[in-house]
Amino acid sequence: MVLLPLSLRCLGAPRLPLVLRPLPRVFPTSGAAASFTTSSTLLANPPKKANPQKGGNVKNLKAIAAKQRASSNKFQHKRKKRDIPERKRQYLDGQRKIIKNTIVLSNTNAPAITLPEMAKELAGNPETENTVFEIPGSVVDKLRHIEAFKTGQHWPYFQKPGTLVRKESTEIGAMINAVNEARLNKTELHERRILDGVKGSGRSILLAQAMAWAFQSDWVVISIPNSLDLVLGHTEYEYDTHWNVWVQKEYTAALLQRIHKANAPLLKNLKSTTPHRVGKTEKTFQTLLKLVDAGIEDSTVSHDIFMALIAELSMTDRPPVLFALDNLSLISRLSENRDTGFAKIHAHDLGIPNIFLSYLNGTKDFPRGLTIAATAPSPRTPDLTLALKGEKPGPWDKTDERIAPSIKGAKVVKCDPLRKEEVKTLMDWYTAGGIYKGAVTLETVAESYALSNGNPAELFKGCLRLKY
Amino acid sequence: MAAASSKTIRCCYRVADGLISSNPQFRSRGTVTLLQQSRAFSTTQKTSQLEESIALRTRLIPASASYYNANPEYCDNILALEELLRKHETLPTVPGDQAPQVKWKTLVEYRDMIGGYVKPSRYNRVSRILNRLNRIEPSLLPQETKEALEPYKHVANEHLNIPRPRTVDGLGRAYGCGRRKTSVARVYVVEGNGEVMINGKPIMDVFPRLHDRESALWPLLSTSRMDKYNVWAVLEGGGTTGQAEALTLGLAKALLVHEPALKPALRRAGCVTRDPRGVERKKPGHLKARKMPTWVKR
Repeated sequence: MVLLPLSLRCLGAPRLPLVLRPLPRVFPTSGAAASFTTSSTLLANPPKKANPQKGGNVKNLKAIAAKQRASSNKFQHKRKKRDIPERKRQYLDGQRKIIKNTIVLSNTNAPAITLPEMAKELAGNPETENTVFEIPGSVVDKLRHIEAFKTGQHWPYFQKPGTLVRKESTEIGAMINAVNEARLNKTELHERRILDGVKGSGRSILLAQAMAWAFQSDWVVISIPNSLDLVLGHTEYEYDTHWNVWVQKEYTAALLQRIHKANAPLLKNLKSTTPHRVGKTEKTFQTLLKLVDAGIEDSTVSHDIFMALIAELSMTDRPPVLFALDNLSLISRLSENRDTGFAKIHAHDLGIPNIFLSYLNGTKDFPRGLTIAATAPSPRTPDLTLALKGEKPGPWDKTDERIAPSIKGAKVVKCDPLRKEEVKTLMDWYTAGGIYKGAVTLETVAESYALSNGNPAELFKGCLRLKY
Repeated sequence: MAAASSKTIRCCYRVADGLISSNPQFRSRGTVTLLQQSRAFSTTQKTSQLEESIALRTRLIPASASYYNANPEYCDNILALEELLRKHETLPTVPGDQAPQVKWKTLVEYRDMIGGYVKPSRYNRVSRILNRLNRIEPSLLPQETKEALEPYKHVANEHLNIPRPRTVDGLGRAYGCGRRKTSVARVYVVEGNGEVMINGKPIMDVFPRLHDRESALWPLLSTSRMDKYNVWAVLEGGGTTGQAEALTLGLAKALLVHEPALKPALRRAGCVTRDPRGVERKKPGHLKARKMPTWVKR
C-alpha cells in the first residue's frame, strides 16, 4: 500500500530538481530585464517591431538589423557616396557613320603642287603614262556626287586630288576615245570591261579616272559605288512581279538622286517622247531629268523609273553611257537578303545587279558606252575567279553556274603591280606633297618597291609611315 | 698475446714508413703495384733485435704512395700533374684567350686512359691544372711539360676543323639557310635589282603585313643593298613571324657570302645571330607554360 504511490510516480515524467531544469531554448529578447550574455550584439536594444501600417515589413527588419550590426562595428568606415559625373555622349546617333563615310578631298595644310590637269584630250595617250595629273575642279564635284572617291584612299593627304595615269588608265582612256569617235561617226560601240587585281592594286581609282574622262566627254555616268549595300540585307527589298526581280526601291531612289546630281545639265537637254510604265500607269516625261526626278520624289516607282532611264539611254542618238559598278565579287554570290521561304536570294535576282550584269555580258547594249566593273578583294568567289581566268571548274567542284555567263564576253583588264619608274613618280609626288620625308634615290625607290611589291596602296602606306 | 702482436706490427710499419721517407732509394724503385713482401712477423722477436736488423729486414713496399687510396691511378695522375705545376708555377703565363687552343680529353676518354671510374668533379680538377699549364708562355714552355700535356689532348682538334667557307656558285648564287622558331628558310641571293620571290610568289602574297615584309628584307634594307640583289627563297614550317625572321637570317647569311665585310653591319642590325627562343614547354600543374589554374579557396 505504502509502495503504490511511489511506484506510480516512477511511471510518470522524471521530476528534476528546479536547478537542473534546462533553460528554455529561446531567450526572451524583450522586456526590461537584460539577458545574461557577454555579447554586445545581444546587449543592443531589440529591433523595433515591424509596423505594417507604417510600411514596415520583413525586408525592412532585415535592413535595420544589418544597419545595427554595421554600426556596432567600430572599425567600419562609412562609405561616402561618390558623385558620378553624368557621362557625355561622345557621338550622337549616326554621327560616327557620317564621320566614317565623309570624303575629304583637300588638306589645306599640305603644300600646293602644280600638276597638269587630267583633260579629256589626254585620255588614251600613251605619252601620259607614268605622270601624275590633277583631277579638274569641274569634275571633282561630279565625282564626289557619284561617290567615285572612297574612304581610305589618298585624297585627304593632298591639297588637291591628283592621280597617276598608268598603262591600265591609258587602256581605258583609249576605249573612251574610241566610243567618242563612234559618237562622231554615228556608229555603235559598246565596250565591256572588268578590272581585276589584288587588294590595293588601284581598281577603284581606275574607275574614278574613267568617270573623270567620261564626265568631261559629256557622257551620262551611272555608278554603283559599292555593291555591298545591295547584298548586305540592310536595304529594303521586295519582289516585283512586273520585272520578275527583287527590287530595292529606296536604294534605287538614292541612286537616281546621285545620277541627278552628277548628270543634271546633260539630262536636262535630253528630250523624251516615249511613254514609260510608272507604277500602274504610263507616263511621258519631257526630259530625262524630269524622269529621274519622278523616281527621286516617289521611291515606290523608283525601280520603274531607273529601268525607264536605262531604256531611254539605250536608244540611238543618246549620249554615251558609262555604267560602272565597284565590287563585282559581292554580286557574284548569294546575297544576305532572304526570300519568303527564308532562302538566300541570289544577287543576280536583285534588280540593279541584274540590269548591270545584262549590260556587262552584252545581253543588252547601249548604242555607245562603256560598262565597267571592278572586282573586290574579298570575299573569295572561286566561280568568278575561274570565270575571269576563262577556266572551267573541276567536275567535283560546287559551282554556281550563273556566274560565268553573267560576265561572258567582258574583257579583263589586269591591274598589274606598278613598275619601278611609276613607283619613283609616285614617291616624287608624295615628297612634293609632304607625305614622304626621305630623299627619293635609287636606293629608297628600290626599297619602297621591294616592300610594297609595286602595290599602290601599300606604297602609299609605306611612304606615309614614319621611317623606321 | 694478441695485444702484443698488434703493437709489434704497428711498430714495424712505423719503422718502414721512416725508412721510405728517409731513404730515396726506396722511393725510386720501379713500379710495384702489389705488396711484394708479405712477411709474417714473429711475435717472439724482441724489440732490441728488431732495431738491429732494420736494414736487413727491408721489405718491398708499394711504389705508389696512393696504393691504399680508393683510386690510386687517378691519385698518381693528379699528384704528378700537381708536381709538374708546382715546378713551373713561376713561369710567365698568357691570358686564357691567347693560350694555344686545345681540347682536352673528354671525361669518358680520360676514364679510359686512367682505367677506372673518375668522378666529373675530379676530372675538373685535372682539367684546371691542364688549363693552367697550357697558359704558360708558349715560348718558355719546357719540353717536359709539353710532353706531359700531350697524352691529355683530344685526338681530333675541333678548332682546326674549320668549316669550308661558302662561295658564290657558278651561276652567281649565294646560299644561306636561316631558322627561327620552327621555320626554315632556304635563301638564294644573286646580284640584281631588288626583285624578291618567295615560294614562287611575290612577297606581298606571302607577307601581307608590312612589318613582316620589312623584317624579312631587313638585311638588305639595313645595309642599303635592296637595289643590288635579287632574292629567291623557299620557306617552310612555322607561322608568319617565324618565316619572316627565318628569312632574315638566311638572307643575311647569303648576303655575307657576297660581301663578307658586311658582317659587323649586319650584326648591329641583329641579322647574324640565330634567335634560339622556341615554344616554352608546358609544365605539370600548369595549364600552359606559365598559366595556372584559377585559385580556389578550398
